[in-house]
Amino acid sequence: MEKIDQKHIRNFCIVAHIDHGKSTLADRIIEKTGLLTSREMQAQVLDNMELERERGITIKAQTVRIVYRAANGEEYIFNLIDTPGHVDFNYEVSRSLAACEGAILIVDAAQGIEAQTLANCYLALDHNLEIMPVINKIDLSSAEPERVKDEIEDVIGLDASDAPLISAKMGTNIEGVLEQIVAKIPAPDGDENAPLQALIFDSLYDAYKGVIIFCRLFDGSVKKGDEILMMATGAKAEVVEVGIFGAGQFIPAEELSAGMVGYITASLKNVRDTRVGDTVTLAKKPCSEALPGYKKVQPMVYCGMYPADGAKYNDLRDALEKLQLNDAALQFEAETSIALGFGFRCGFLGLLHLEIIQERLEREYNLDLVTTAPGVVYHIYKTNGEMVEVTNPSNLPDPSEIEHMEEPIVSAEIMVTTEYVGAIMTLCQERRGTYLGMEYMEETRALLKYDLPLNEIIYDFFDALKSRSRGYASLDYEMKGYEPSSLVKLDMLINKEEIDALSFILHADTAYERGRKMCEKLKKEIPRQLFEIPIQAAIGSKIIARETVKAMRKDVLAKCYGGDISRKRKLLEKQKEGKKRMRQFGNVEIPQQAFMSVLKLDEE
Amino acid sequence: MKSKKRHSPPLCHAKIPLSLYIHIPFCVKKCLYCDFLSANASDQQKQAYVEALLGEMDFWKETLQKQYALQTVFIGGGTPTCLTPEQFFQIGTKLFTIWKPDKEIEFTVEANPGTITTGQIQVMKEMGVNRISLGLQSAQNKELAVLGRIHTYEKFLESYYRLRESGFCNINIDLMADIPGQTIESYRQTLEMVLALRPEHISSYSLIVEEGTPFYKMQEEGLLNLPDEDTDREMYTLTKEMLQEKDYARYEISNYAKKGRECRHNLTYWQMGEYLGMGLGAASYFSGYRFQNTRQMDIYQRQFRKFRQEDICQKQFGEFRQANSIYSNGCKSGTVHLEAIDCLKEGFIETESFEKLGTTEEMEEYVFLGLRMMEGISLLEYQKRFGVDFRELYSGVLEPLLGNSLLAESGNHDRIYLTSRGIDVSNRVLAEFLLEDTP
Repeated sequence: MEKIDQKHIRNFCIVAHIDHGKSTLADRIIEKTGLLTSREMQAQVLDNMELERERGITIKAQTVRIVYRAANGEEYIFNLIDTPGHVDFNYEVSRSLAACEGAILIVDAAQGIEAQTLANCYLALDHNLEIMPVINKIDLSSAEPERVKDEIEDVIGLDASDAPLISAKMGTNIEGVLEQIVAKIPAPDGDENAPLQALIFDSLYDAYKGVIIFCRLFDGSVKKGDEILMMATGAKAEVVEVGIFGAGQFIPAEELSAGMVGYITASLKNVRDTRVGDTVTLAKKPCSEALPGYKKVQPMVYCGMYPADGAKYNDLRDALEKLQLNDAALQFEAETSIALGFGFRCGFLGLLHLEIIQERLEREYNLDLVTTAPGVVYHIYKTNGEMVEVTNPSNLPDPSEIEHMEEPIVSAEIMVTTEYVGAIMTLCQERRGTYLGMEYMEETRALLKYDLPLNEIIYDFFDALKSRSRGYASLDYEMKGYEPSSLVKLDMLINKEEIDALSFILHADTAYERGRKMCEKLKKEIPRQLFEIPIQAAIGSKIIARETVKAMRKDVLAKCYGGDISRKRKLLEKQKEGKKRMRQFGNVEIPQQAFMSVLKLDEE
Repeated sequence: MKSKKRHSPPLCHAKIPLSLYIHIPFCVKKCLYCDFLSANASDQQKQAYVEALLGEMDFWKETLQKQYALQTVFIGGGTPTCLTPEQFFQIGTKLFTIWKPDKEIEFTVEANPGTITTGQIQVMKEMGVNRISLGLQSAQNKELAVLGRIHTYEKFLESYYRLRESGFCNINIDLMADIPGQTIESYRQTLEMVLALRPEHISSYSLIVEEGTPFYKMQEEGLLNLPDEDTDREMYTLTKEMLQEKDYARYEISNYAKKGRECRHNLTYWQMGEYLGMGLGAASYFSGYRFQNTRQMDIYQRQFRKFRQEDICQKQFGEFRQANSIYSNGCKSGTVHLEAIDCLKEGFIETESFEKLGTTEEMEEYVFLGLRMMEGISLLEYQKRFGVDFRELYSGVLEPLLGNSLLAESGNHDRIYLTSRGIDVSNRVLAEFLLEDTP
C-alpha cells in the first residue's frame, strides 16, 4: 500500500445528544464517500450489533476508514471514530475523542442543545478537539436552524455562522459536511520516526483473530512481527497483523504509521490485557512516556445474577466469560444466595450496561436470569479503623462494627424546559439531591445542577425524569466522590424468614417507603397458599412494614366420577409441575416470577 | 392340557364385583354450562344408537358372565329419559340376559325433570330400576333459566311426586352452587325447599365453568355474574350445616345421604373398584386397564352394532383371529380364546384412550380418589392391596399435612381422611400424593 501523507488524513468523531442523528449522519458520510454502494448500506452501518439496532444506541465504539475525493481534486482518508452515546460509557467516549483531531457536533434543529450535547461538547473541548457544528433535521417542520445557531453561539461560545444545515435522514447537504471536514479539521502531525506511541480506544475479541486492538498512532509505526508492549498492563505480544477498518470488515495493511487509525492483532488471549486508554509501544524501543488519561475502569453498579434454573450455573459462567472477552468493564465473581442458589455478583459501568449484559445473556445465550436489585459500591468504615467496600448487601458487617458508611455521589446536569423545572426539582429533592444551581440556556430552557447519590439514580431515575417532564428533560452525570450517609440495610422476610436476595442498602429516610412498596409487590406476586403468609420489611430486628398473603380459601374439584379421573390426574400433575417452578422457603413456595418482578426496577 | 387349564375357572370361585355405567348421549337441549358428551338427536338416531349399545353389551357378555358379578348399574347422560319406554326395555332385557342377579343390585337412572313420562316410569319399575337421580340444580326458576335448563321447579315437583307415587323410595336430587346471579338467600331457599321433599340423597356441586361451553365464552366476555369466593364458601358451609341438621351425612366432598343410602355406584369410583362404561365416550377401569370408548358416533355404531346377534361373540372373535395373522399364528387349534379386553388392547375395537394403569398410578389414584370420601382410606387396606406401607412411602408428605390439620387420623390410626379445611384445598393436598416415578 502506498504510504499516505499525514496531511491527507482527517481523524474525527461525531458527538451529539441521543437521537440527534449521529448514526444516520455517519451512514450518509460513508455512503457519500463512495466506499460502499447504496445497496450495501444497511440502515445503520456502524451499529452492527442487533441489540444496538433495537435500542437505537451505540454500545461499543466502532470505527471506519473511508476515502473522500474533495472538491480540490485530492483524495483524503477519513477515519470516523464512532463513540458510544451513553453516560455509562463516558470513559470510552473520552478515549475515542483522544484519538481524534476534531469532532462534528450535531445539534437537532428542532430540539436545540440538550444535556448530552453540552456534556459531549465540553468533553471534546477538554481534549482540544476542533469542534465543527452541524445543524441536523432541517427537514422537520418544527426546525429552527437560526435559533439553534444562536443557541450554539450563546451557550457554548462556538462560531456556528457557517455550520452546515443538513438533513441526514434525507441526505441533504452531506457534501457541505464533507468539505468542512477537509477544511476545518486539522491533519495529524506525528513523528513517524519517533518510537511507537499509539492509543488503544477499543478492543474486541474475535474467535479467529483473537484480541483485536483498535488504536490511533500518534508517533512511530508498527508492522507484523514487531513485539509490542501495553504500557499500563505490561502485557507484551508479537504483532500478527495490522490493518485498517473497512466498513464492517478488517483490511490488512503492511504497516501503520503516525497519524493513522487502525487495528493490531497479536498473540493475546484476553481483552483484559488491552485496556482502553492504554498506550501501545514497541517493547524493544519504547516511547519515553505513556499517553495521558489512562484509568482502569471501575464498575459503578453491582447486582447478583442467578440462573433461573440452577442447573444452568455453568452455562451462565461460560456466557459471562465470553462476554468479558469483549467487555473489559464487565466484572463478575461467584456468589451464593440462600434464596437463589449459585450465581454471580456482577459489576457494571452503569444501569444501561447492566441491562445490555442481561439482555445479551438472555438473548444470545438463551439463559433465564434472576437479577437482584442493582446496588452501588458502599464504603464501610469499621470501628477498628478498617474500610471495606461492599457491593452485596449480605456482606454488610454487623451494625455494631460499623463506625460510619459512605456512598458514591454524582454531579448531575439536567436540561429541562422551564415549565418542568419545578417538577424536576421536586424529583431531585425526593432523591436526596443537593441543589447546586441553575443556568438559563435561553428563555425557555434551564440547566439544573445537582449532586445526587448514585444509588438514587440507578433505580428508576431516568424513567421518573422522563415521565415528569413529558420526555423533555435530559440527564448527564459524572462521578464526584464518596460522602458519609445515613444508610441502612433493608431485609425482606417471608413467613418470618429472611430472603437474602431481596435485601438491599438504602438511605434511612427512604427505607420505610420502599419497604412498604416491596411488601405490597410481594403480596401481589406470591400466590395464596394453604396458610397465611406474613410479608415483612425489617431494618435489623425492627419491622417497618407488613403485608399478609391470605390463606387460599378453595381449591377443590367438586365432581369426580368415572369419566373425570384422567382429567383429575392431569390437574394434579399440573399442580405438582407448577410447584417445581417454585422455590421452597420453609413452608412457603415462592414462584420464580415473584423474585423477578420484585427485583425489577420500579415501574410506578 | 395346558390350554384346558387356562380355560378352567379360577380356583377361587368368587367373581369380581363390577359396576356398569351406560351412557345415553342425548338431551332435549344442551345446558349452557354442560361439557358432557351429549346432543339433540332424532328418534331414528337414538334407535340406531341403542342398537349399537346392545351390541356392545353382547360384545362384553361372555367376559362378564364368566368372571364378574354385577353390583350396580347407572344409566346416565345426557338425558337417559330422552329414550322411549321401548328402548329402556331393550336395554333392561339385554342386561338381564347377561346377568341373572342373585341379589338386589343398585340400579340408578338419571332423569331430567320434565322429560319423565308415565310409560318410562312403568318400564323402569319393571326392569328393576330402584334409584332415580334428578337433576334439579336450583329451586329458583330464574336461576334455572340462567343455566339454560328446560324445566321449571314446578315441573320438577310434578316429576318428583309422580316417581314417589310409583314407589321409588331412593331418590337423589342434584343441586348447584355458584350459579350466576345466585345469592346466599336464594340458595338457602333452594336447600329448604329440597329438604322439605325429604329425598334420600342430595348432591351439591359448585358450578365449574368448563372450556368450550357457552358459559366459558360468556365469562371471557365478562357477562357471567358469578358469586365471589366468600359467597361460594358460605354456600358450601351452609350446605353442610343444613343437610347435617336433617340427618344427611356427608360421605364425599359433594355428596350427602341418609343412612344406608349412599350411592354404591359412585363409591365404586372412589374405592377403585372395577367398572365398565358402555356407550359413546364412556370411561372404564377394568381388569387393570383404564380406557375410554370412542367419542365418534359413527365409529361407535359401526364397531359395536355388528355384535348384536344372539351368541355372535364367539363367531366374531373367530373372524378377528382369521383376519389377523398375528393371532391366527398364536392360536393353534383355536383353543386360545381372545377376550373382549384384548380386542380393545390390540386395536380391533377403536378407543379414545386405552392404557394399562401402572402400579404407581394405581397407588396414586387409590389415594386421591379415596380421600374424596369422608371416611378416607384405610392404611391396612392399602397395605393389603399394594403391599406397601403407606406411612413409610409418604413419610415426608404426611407429617406437614397432618401437622397443618389438612389431614386427620382415625382414633385407631388406621384411617386417614381430609379435614374440613383439607377438603377446601383438597387439590393441593392430593397433589402431594403423586409419586415421582415407578417405585
